[in-house]
Amino acid sequence: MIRLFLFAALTAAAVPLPSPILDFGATPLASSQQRTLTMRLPSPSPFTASGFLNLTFQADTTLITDDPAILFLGTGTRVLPFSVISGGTQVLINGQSGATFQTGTTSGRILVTLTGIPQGITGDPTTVLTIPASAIALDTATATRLSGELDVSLIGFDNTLTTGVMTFTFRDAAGLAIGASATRADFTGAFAAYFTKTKAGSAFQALVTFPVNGDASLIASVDVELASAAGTTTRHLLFH
Amino acid sequence: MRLHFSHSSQSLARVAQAFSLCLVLVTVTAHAQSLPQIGEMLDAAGSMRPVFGVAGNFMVGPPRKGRVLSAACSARLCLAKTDSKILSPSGSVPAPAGPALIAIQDDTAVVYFQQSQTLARWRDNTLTPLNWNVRGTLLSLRAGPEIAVRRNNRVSIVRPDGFLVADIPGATGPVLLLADGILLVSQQKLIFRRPNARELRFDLPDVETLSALGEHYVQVRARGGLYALRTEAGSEQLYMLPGTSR
Repeated sequence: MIRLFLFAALTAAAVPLPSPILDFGATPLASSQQRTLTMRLPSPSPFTASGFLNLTFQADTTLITDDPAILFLGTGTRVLPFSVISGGTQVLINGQSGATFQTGTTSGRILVTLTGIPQGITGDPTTVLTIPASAIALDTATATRLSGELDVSLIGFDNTLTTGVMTFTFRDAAGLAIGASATRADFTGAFAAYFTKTKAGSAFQALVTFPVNGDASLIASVDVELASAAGTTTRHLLFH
Repeated sequence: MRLHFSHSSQSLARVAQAFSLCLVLVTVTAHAQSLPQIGEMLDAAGSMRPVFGVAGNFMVGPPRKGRVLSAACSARLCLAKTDSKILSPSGSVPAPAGPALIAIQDDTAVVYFQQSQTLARWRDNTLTPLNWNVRGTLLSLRAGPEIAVRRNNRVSIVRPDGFLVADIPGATGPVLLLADGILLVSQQKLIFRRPNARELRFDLPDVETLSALGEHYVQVRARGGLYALRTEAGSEQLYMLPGTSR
């Protein structure tokens, strides 16, 4: 009888934790998002379990190897403890029903891995979240007319880290283009150096300055085109 | 902290003539800062910390020295109230003890010291007392100047001479007067009320304080953590700030 009981206990202890179902929300993942992760088990846990939930990142680009903005927001870390009670299916993450994390501003793969479970886990403990490459996203873009100078201020991110070619078409109040052709500039090398040096994803703030000889008040607007490996972003800005 | 680069030699060097307008674009130069900065937050430990990034992707810089009780930032200026001083990027000035309400306008600010219940104008690290005729509990200040006050369970906006500008119906918690609207707490919701009466509501229980984080962001301190509300028209959204569980 005692032998049978011990055998049953050993058998139960050898059962690993059912692989949790991770839910990141219904909408597609993209850069610069705050998403909430929840975990549940497909069947009741055979034992009270705990472990760690880890975030790691593999960037598509070779300019940088990581994006420090990818983290759990509550703690500002990439590791959180999780737990589930015996017979339960709801997994608590750091004592909460879910954990919110940022997706950063670099395309690549966020790996969500479960570790530190003494009993082990069935299946693959790693879930791969793909952050797709996207055209440059502008958070804020403004055009300012100063004495003898036109300024275009751009704040945004380029999750491919390939930005640099910019095209500007200036227009008068009637919407007619000024000049024979658009003004093109290539800042690719400088942006690459900036991304490499800051090692903070791809968020940038750029001020493009156009010295002007003549009556700058006749320039009413500018069409801005920003090119990256993932496409072209355009904005029509009115000068203020 | 700033990375600066100039490209006049390598990039454009292009001359585009607009004959009819007598305009010549000579060169283009670009300058890139190290990172866009959202503003400065007051963290759970009472330290000021710069917040970098873009909406939905925030990074928090190292804490600055000294314990801060209250703070406010605009695009041009950040002021921090310690127990005995008001700190600015250019220096400090002795101030009454305790927390304060701070409303920045351009290069000046109006400060309400909550313990002493006194008002002063801050300019260039000097404080000039203000003798305003305001009754009730001051909740917020803004340029104008206008003051949000709570009297007999009713929240109103008044002018320094006591003139009633408007009531703020439904306000049961903290209030923040902004240049382009009013932020208030009512029944476990954070409500952003625009001048055109358009309202945005965010589910956020137990909001404790509201303060200006930067030009387009408000810091929201709630029991569950610290948040940043983006207030730009059309882009309003509530975000969590990193590493701010309380």
